[in-house]
Amino acid sequence: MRTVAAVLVLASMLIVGCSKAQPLTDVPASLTTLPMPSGAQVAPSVSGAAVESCDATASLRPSTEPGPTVDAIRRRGRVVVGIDQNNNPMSFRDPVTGQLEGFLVDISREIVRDLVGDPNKADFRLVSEPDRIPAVQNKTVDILTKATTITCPRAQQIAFSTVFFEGSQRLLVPRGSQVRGPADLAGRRVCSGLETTSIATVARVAPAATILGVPNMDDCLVALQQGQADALSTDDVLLAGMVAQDPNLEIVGPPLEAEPYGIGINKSQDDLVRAVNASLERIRRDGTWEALYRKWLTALGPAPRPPEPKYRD
Amino acid sequence: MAVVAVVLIAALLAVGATASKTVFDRQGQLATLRSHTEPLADAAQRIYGALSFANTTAATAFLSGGVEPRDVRERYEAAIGQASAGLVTASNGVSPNDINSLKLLTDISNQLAVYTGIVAVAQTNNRAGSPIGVAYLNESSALMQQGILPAAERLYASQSSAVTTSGHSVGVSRVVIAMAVLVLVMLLLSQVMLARHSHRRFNSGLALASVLMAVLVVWLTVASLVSTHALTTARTQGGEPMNTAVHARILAQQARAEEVLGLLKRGSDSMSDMRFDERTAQIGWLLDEHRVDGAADALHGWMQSHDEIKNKLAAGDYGGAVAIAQDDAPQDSTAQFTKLDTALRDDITALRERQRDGIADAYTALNLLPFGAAALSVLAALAVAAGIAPRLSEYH
Repeated sequence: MRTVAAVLVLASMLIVGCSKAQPLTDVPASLTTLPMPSGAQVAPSVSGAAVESCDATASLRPSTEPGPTVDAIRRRGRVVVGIDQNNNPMSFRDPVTGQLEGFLVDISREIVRDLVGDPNKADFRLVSEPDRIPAVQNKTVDILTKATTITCPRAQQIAFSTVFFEGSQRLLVPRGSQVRGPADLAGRRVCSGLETTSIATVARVAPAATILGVPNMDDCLVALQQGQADALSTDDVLLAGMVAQDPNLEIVGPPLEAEPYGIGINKSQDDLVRAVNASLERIRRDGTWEALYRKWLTALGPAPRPPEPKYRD
Repeated sequence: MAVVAVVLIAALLAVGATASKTVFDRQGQLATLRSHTEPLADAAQRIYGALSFANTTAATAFLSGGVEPRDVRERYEAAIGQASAGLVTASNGVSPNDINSLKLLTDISNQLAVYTGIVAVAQTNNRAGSPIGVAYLNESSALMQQGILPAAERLYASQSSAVTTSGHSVGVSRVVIAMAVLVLVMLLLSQVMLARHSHRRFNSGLALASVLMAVLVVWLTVASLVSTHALTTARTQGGEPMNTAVHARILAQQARAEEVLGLLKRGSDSMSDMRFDERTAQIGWLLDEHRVDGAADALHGWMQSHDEIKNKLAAGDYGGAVAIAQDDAPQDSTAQFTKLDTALRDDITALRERQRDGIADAYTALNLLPFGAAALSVLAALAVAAGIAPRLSEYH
């Protein structure tokens, strides 16, 4: 009988004895720092070739003679304009009003006024960076006024109007930064847009800098504000738009590269190119250009003379 | 004869102790499953839902301009609160040994703090009329989609697989049942042996012990079958379809985020439409596999409304596209998405209930068995002793 009792006790000990309080585990804090803007990457190597200097900025002489394309647009009564909405102050969607606004938007409206007689007959279509050239090539848009630098490779794909704005690439740094020009960038981190002409220029003028590439220029401003980049570089217009959003930044250094802006048109539509150039002539001549410059681009300084048109015929 | 008695008694007590201990442990596992692992998996799933809802809501607020509508803001805040509460529930369910889950929870919790900070910067900029607000929103969304949500998904995956894995193991191990059968055979054999050596055909002690052992064998077998069946039901009619529904819901929330952010970033991200199509197609396949009332219709309506948004955008009518994405009209994207999300959420709740019921049934089937096994074997041992002791004295 005693054995039985002993076995019972043993059994109950087996059953009960297994639980034992465990000490709490300490887990170290993790991932407390701000992330990089989405899609940002340190560009391993960027081809440092200068923007080609060819005759791409020379366009066709202005003419108001109606041609087949212009006639078709007039019959339709609306002009389809390719633009983007992330380019303050050139073309952007005002977060407060929800309206598309900016220098390029107003220039577009002026051209639409000359083409169909009413600046409000513009159908704005939003085009992304990779879509813009194809949009012109398959005639999804009549005119492309998204900020587009005239380059030789692009001029082989689409036709351009005369230069209507002369941008120049510069540097944007926090106020009081030691960076005053490209020479100070050695060993520092510079942000620019992936696959843009600007990022290639940065690689050329500051070979010793680390280059951070982002999919969207706005992401560079985020990187700069978050202290993940020491400087950013792109067109001075875009830089002015950034200064307007953050007065703790300043534009420094000499122009690194000229960025002539042109309006993209399908290669087969010479009459439209001439009509747009005629409209641009009017805008340059009657003071509209200066008025729009003062409306949107004062951050760049007083309005300069509009760029002189160049013609190849 | 004395040797036989000692062997029998030892075997009986051994079987009793083993059966009792195994079943007790098994019940312990089921209790942990019911009170920790399963609630943790559920909390992980709810954290995921709340976080992606917060992310989509933050983006939706931007569609309406500078100042977000009050109700949208409140929805965002409530979602962040639910996510935090889910984190507390989940931490409560993690065993201190589960370093991996603790690490995931810490990651989620830390990144959530960073996330709300970035969203606040985005809102402030947006309110001030700075377009940079959208870039911050984009960054916050990337942190959510690429950092926080994958961690929540991994937490859910590890916990839900722990739940389904324990659904695969049987109620009582076959070895224990085999041991009990073996002892029963030993009892019967020793009765035969005893009958040959003595004048009596029938030893009531051994017979009683045999009956008790037979009862134990039947009890163990039936309880094991019932418990296993309950767990299998919990898995096949609860856990597994629930995983499909959870997966579909996650995809729906990702697609909605793509839709809203795609609208906000229009002109700089042509990929979001592609990802929307990819995700909604996957949801379609999952719903073919596991039917949910009303979900397929809602998905269809949503995709139609999304096409309309796409058409408006292609025609340059941004305002019209935003209006569709924001509108509460029943045929429009918000209402259809909400319908789909609600259908999936209700389905998940029902399936979870089924899973919990199954686990509870599996637990109940084993009730009393640990003590029953111990008592039966001890009684059988006593019966053996009582049955053989008189024969021993006869022998001398």
